Amino acid sequence: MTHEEYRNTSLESKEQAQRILFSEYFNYVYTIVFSKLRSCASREDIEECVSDSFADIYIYYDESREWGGDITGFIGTVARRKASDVYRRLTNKKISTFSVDDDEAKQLEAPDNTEEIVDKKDMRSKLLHCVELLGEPDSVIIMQKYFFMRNSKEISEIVSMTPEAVRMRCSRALVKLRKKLTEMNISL
Amino acid sequence: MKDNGFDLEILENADDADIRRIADSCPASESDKERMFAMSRKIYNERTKESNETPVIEVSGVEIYKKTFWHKFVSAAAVLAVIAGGTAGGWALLNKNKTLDASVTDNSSFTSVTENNNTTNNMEPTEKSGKDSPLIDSDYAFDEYVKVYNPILNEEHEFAVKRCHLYLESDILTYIYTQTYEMICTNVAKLAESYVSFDWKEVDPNDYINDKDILIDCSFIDLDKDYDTNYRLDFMFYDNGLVNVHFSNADDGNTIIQKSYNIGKESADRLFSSVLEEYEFVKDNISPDKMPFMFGNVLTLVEKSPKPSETYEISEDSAKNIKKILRSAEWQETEQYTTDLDKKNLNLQEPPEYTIYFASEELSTAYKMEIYSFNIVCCYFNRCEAVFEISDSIKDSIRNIIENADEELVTVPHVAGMQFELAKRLLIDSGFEVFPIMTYDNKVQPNYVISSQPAEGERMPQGSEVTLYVSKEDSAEEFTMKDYAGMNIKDATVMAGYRRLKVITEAVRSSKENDIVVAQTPPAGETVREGDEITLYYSSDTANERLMLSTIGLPDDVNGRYQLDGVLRKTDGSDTTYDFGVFLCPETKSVPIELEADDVEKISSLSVYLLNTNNNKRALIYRVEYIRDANGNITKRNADPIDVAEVFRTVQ
Repeated sequence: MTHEEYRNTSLESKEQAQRILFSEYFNYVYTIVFSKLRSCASREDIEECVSDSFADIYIYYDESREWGGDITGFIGTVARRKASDVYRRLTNKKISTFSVDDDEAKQLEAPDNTEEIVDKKDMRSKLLHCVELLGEPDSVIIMQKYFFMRNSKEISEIVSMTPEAVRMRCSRALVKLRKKLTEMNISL
Repeated sequence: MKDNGFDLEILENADDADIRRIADSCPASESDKERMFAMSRKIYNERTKESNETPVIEVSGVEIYKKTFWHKFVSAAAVLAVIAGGTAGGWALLNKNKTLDASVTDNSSFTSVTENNNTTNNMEPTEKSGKDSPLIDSDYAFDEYVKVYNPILNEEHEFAVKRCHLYLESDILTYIYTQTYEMICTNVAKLAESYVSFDWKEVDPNDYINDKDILIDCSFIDLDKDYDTNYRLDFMFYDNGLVNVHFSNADDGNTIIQKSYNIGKESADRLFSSVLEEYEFVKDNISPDKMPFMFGNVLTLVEKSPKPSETYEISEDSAKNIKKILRSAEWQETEQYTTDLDKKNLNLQEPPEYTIYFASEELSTAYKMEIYSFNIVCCYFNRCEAVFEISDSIKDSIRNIIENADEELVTVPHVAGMQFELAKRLLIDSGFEVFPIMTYDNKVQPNYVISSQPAEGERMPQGSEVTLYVSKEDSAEEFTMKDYAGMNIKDATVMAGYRRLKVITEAVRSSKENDIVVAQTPPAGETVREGDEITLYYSSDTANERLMLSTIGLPDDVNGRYQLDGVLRKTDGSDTTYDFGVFLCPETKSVPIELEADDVEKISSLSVYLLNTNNNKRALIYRVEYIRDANGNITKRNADPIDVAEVFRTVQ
């Protein structure tokens, strides 16, 4: 959805425009927020953070004058920042400050480890590929269970199967996935 | 969730391209999305102070919803309540624009009363035009108070005026009180104020037996008082001047006093004439165009046949439209159904196509209109009925409104289990008003919706109220456990009960006196919460004594967690299982085998098994038999000695 489209729709109904925007980018925003917060936040916190991100996006859309082209990057950034805020709040990590003159300052390293980042990126990509190779519904089940941390009952609603069948497929799919990963020399 | 230690944690900080791949399997359901969307709107609105929203209802401190109790109460009261005298004046004034005969209206010591009455009626201002008949009853009188004279105590007491019913019965011997009319609340109140002016002479009721009485039964209940401690005053007026007064006061040791009075034929006549005239007037003037006066702020329900029919509220606009149609038409009372019996049998022929209720649920049966497929309309007003013909065109227009009204209805969304704020937002966005009730529920976490009333899926008009039951913060207080040892068990139970502990008592044998608390769990000094359990052990001679039969010594060289359980066979052949507890080796050196004294008397044999809780392997570790001879002597016979160490080895 471009800014112009949003503008035009919101002339008729602001809520309608927001709804279109929301449905278009929901999965994207939700996934970003979820990835960031899955280890520390409750599902309610995640939902709140998603809603909060969208509220920011609406406001930005209302206020900014021109915005051409794809705005996915912008939306992604808003979501990442919001998620990071929540993450910091929840994990209560203190950002310690050091004086550059301090001895300790010398020991500080840049947090980025480029090599590791590249490795991880490669691994992620391969992993996702492996999961996709499982085919539906196994790939969905694996992602829901081991990434989105849904229980079998919830997954059963998504894939329209019984929870028992989900459990069964899930354990089989996991065996398959592990085998594939081993073949590709990936260990998690 | 780390089943099998597997977790796709690595995907957490994925870059944009990967995120999009993952996003394809985003698990949020439509309802999740809807919830988040509503929430994002809410946050957006808060930030932008967009004010075109329904004002948010403040929720804090809302207390228990009492309506249900009320209903019960009112229905209980309905059996009793009724009216009283006064004069026709009130009624006549109420109807001053009608063609009521002047002779009816003259005699009126209550003129001023009714005038007052007229001005306080909560008619819609627009309804006060000259053409309109003030056939009005309204909820407004419901919470009014009226002072009623109590001849028994010779004092006045304030009663709340609620719905009042009138029973007129000409043949007292049948004791069947057919409720013929319900008097208008406001008038009941005003008439009741006149009681004090009567000349109350106490009499013997037997002197006034009259088998052809008209009876007005009128009760007042002090609704401010609890149902159990009610304060009630009943009057039964007979047309010969006799009044039976019944007074009960549960506060005062459930006093029930019954006395009979004579207020004189004249007063009785005045009283009766006012009631009967109101009744006659209503009976003669009831018609569909006057029914809509009940449309005001009160809700209007429509019921559609065939049954089981749906009943639903229609919107204010639809109600107004129906009202317009009803008032614009000419109504002719039909000749077909003139007798009361005809009218009563009307809906036996065929259920009405539509029933329009003109008042809230409590009053709905009093004011309704039934539209039949065979072009007949039956109006009910305060128990009076009248039947009219209805033309096809009018019926069609009403039908149209009702059918369209159905479409205007909004379905109550699923809110149970939702965060309160979200649920509220969702409901407000759907056009409902939210009435939250905070209540404690241990299954639903605080600030989440437990349920809604009406429930999910029900269809309601926009703007109607949805009650949300919201789980509130567990208000249980923490406190330090008191020491109950040494107290009498009854005292201790009561005292622990005061702290809202769940008390479990158990009798044990001890050297202390009977009924003295000897021990407690949790022990004194521990921090506990309201609602926690406390077990009080008190001394009792009759407590089951446990006798030690034997002790099983345990080997030193075993490790692990074990359990001993036994099967006791009694002399009557029945079996009882015993659990001698779980123990850890090598820390535990021996386990006592104790049985309840009662069981020991009847013991025939006992087998004790050792269970390795790690692998569930089980083996016999101890066995004893008792042999009873003819003289009742008991011989104990131990089975072949069992090597305990060997048993432990077998369960490894």
